[in-house]
Amino acid sequence: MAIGTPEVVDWVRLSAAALEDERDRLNRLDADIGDGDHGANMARGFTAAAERLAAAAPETPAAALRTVGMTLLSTVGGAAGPLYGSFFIGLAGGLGDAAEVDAATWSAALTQAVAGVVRRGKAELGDKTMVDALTPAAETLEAAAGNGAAFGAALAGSAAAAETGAEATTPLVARKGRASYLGERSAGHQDPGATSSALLLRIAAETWGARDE
Amino acid sequence: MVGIVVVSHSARLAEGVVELAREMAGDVRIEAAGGIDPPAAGAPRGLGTDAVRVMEAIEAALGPAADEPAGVLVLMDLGSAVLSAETALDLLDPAIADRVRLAAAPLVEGAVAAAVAAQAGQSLDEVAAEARGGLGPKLAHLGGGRPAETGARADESGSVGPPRDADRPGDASWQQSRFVVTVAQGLHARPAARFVRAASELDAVVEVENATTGSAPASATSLNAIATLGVREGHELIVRARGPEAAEAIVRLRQIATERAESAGADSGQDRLAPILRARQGSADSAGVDAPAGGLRGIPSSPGIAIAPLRRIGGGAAGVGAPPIAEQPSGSPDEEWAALGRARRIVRDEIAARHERLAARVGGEEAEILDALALALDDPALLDPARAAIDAGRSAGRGWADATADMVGRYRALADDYQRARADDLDDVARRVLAELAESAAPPASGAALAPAARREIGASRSRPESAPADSAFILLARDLTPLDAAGLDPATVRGIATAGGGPTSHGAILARALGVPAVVGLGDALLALADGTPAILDGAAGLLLPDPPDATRETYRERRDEAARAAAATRAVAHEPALTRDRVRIEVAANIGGAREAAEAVAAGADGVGLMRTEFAFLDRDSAPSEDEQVAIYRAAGEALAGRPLVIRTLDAGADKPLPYLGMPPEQNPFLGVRGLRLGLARPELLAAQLRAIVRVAAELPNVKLMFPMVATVEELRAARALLHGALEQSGATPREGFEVGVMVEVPAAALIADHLAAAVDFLSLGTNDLTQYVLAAERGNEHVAALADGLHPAVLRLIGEVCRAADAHGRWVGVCGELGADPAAIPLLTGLGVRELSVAAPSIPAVKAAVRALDTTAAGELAERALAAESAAAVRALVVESAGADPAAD
Repeated sequence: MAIGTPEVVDWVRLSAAALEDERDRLNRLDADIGDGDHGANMARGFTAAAERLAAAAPETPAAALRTVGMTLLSTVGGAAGPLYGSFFIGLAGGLGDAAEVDAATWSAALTQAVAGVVRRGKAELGDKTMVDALTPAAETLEAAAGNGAAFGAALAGSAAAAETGAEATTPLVARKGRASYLGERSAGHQDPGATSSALLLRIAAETWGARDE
Repeated sequence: MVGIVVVSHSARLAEGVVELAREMAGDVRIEAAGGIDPPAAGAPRGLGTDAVRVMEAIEAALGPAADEPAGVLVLMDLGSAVLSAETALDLLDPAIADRVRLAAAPLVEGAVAAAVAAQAGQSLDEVAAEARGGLGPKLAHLGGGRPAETGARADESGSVGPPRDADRPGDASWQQSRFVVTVAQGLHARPAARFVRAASELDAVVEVENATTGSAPASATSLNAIATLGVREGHELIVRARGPEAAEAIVRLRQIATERAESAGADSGQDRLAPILRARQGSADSAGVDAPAGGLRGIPSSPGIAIAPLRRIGGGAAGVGAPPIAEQPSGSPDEEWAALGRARRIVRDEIAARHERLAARVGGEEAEILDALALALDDPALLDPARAAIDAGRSAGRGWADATADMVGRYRALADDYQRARADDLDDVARRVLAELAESAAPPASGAALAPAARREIGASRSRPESAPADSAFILLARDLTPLDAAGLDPATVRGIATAGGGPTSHGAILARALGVPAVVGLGDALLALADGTPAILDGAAGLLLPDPPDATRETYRERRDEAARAAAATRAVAHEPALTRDRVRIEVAANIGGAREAAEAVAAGADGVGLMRTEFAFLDRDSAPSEDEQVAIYRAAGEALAGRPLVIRTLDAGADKPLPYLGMPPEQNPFLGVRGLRLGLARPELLAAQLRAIVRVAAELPNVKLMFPMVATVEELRAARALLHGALEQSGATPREGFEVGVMVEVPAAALIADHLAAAVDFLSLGTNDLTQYVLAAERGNEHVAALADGLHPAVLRLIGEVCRAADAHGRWVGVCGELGADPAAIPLLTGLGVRELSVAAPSIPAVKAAVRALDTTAAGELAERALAAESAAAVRALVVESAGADPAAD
């Protein structure tokens, strides 16, 4: 199985819908340790990105992802804007001109995108950020792709790793972003950025993995 | 001409700043990049930052390509504005991005200063420096000052800092306190780490000066900056703070810096060292003898005898140098920085793991040494210069090595031996980070030879001694023993420690003592010439290492070792037995404790009870006094832990010397002569009444509880306290058992002189010999110039103690001692001879005090005490005690 531009557009569209559904939960998570607008910001950004993709009809998966990145930069507003913007622009860079994406190319692109986020946010594993979900996801995908796993199964494993990583942020003390002002009090709350990252990867697995059958 | 971009979450703020800046410099291209696209057409722009918009603003500010490419300075407000500006640089053509600087400058002041500099035709770097210094004029005007920067800031282009000295003294926004440091050894690793942690937790900007050395101010949140102030016991410190929690910060820091080592084992490293140093100077049998032929003489560091082969670890090996440093960065500055972060993280995790194991073995107090190492890893005074060097194109290893070497050099320049030894700790941590960097940088195949060597060189003890089978016990031989090495030692296999370098105050040596491993340091380079596996004897108390000993010597030492082990076991075995003098007089040996948790520790150490439970801890580190119920829970826990043994609870002993922020006590010129102890309780009767209710409620449940009032000087005070107690009994409805004992502390000379009147009104008297001595001799123990005067064996103090015992005896009351004098071997026969029947001491001293009591005869002690009362000086008293111990045939 491989996916093309329409599947990438589907992913963004379904992610926008899922973020709309999860808007309140993400806001609540963010309210615990931040300023409470992560759900609203993400829903706004992805809705705008989906609209722009619908209007623009990009030619390659990379072009679609770049559009998403640029849109997020301009519409999300908080730190998630440049961070997710860097993530999608990194994905686009990793894919290059490929018309179709398979497990190996997606794994390489994801690894590059996560590196971009790490560089932008200067966050490391365990800092209670989206990196805690994205890094295990990229590593799991890389291992699965290396073992020749089916793309759908690899994506599902990657999404599960992201969710586990997001859940594991709960006891951590934030070292980055606004939550770090809370110090020890940030422990006991799941990080909203890690949660939305896991959500995006879950939607990718569901949207694209269904095509395995 | 340099262009300027103003990035803000708010479009209106960005435009407002641009308007102000343009007014100053009409020709400069200044662009606003504020807010995000409006949520709906026609709506105002939303709050947030947009990297694309920042990129476009930069392009606009750069001007037409034909212009001279002077560059663009970007000023940002906070948070995501910084991330968006960085993202914008990614989006730009690299050739353009190279001509853009992001300024860590105040937004409004920075924009205006930058605009003026740009208008004047200054270069991009000059404009950036102007922007960063933008707060200067405001600081000069308002006199705000700012905390001292520690180390070199990550500001290699030379920020124009605010004027620094003119603005501070007398400035109303700064609160200031000046005091003498009394914590033993000064602000070294553990107190310094506590100090820095406290300063970091509070919402205040705090800076510290060492007034004694005339140091420059240093930030209280930098461990290295504090440590390199070289603050020793007796130094005068100036702490200055501003911000919402400034007052509390000063109080907390003052507490930490003026803590005394009177709580059990508070600075056991030094306490345990003292007898060793004395043995070394004195006549201990082997210490005065020259090293036998072939033997090496070093500095005794941890007593005990070890007989085992030598095994070399770490830096003692010839030809193994520092970990290799890759001079060439292998990636971008950000990647180098991340690599350094990973290496620091690995070392931090390693320290944490050892901390846990060490705390389990020797207790949290000693393990705090490792906390200081972990703090060093995250110290801005190291990280800022490292980051600056990396950003300037150096490799992660080079940046870190230079930053740490600079700090190590500053430690080495300190005057105090103890603090100078901290250089080695920091150096060790720095090298571990470098080794991890080398490890991660080396490609898997070719690095195999390099990385393990680097690991072995610095971390051998974690892999080898720990995994050695139990029958392969050895004496560890090393150039130096770092705290991390020591923390990783397994006493089951490491029988002794011999090092070429180091001193007895090195943290490695302190931890060796805590672990009970014999150690000799400073044996010299000859040690390093010894072959691995050489059989050897190490005599920790004498400071000797005997390689290849003849069989006879080995036999002698084996007997001595076994004898010492038997004696130690015997002392421990009888620590839980009551202490009876040779003429069968029972002396109660009790513990001084500072919290409920310590009650169990006291019992474990063999305490017959608790002669002094300080209650201050329950009142510290909080915003209000503890409730009656909270206090009940604490006192009950202590009482229950003692399982029927006596528990003397002392009411709150706070005052201007030990202030509680929420009481709002005014500072006093002479806090030791001010409102403290019972005086405070009577001035704040609601506080004392609640505590008394809590105590009598617990006393009604547990018959072992007794009550004691501190700092009594007059009979009237005692009556007033009694009246409050009466009220507490009525209010609480609690009825303690018949004979619920109430006592007073005798620490004011006046109380000692009217002991007959006090004894008539209480059940017992407890001598607080620390304060009594200070008051009698008018000499503060914390003041190094007069500390020697404050000797509890001065005949004047002993005469007062004699008075108190006589008066108490006449009324059938018992007398205890709850000061440090009770644990002084020279004082025990005198106190007992004068009539004291309870000695309350720090828990670790209990076995030794009991042993001293068992060697006594009260009649002989009484005669000795009579002679001591007639002696002319403390020195004469000591001589009497030594003479009588020598003349006593039973003292074997």
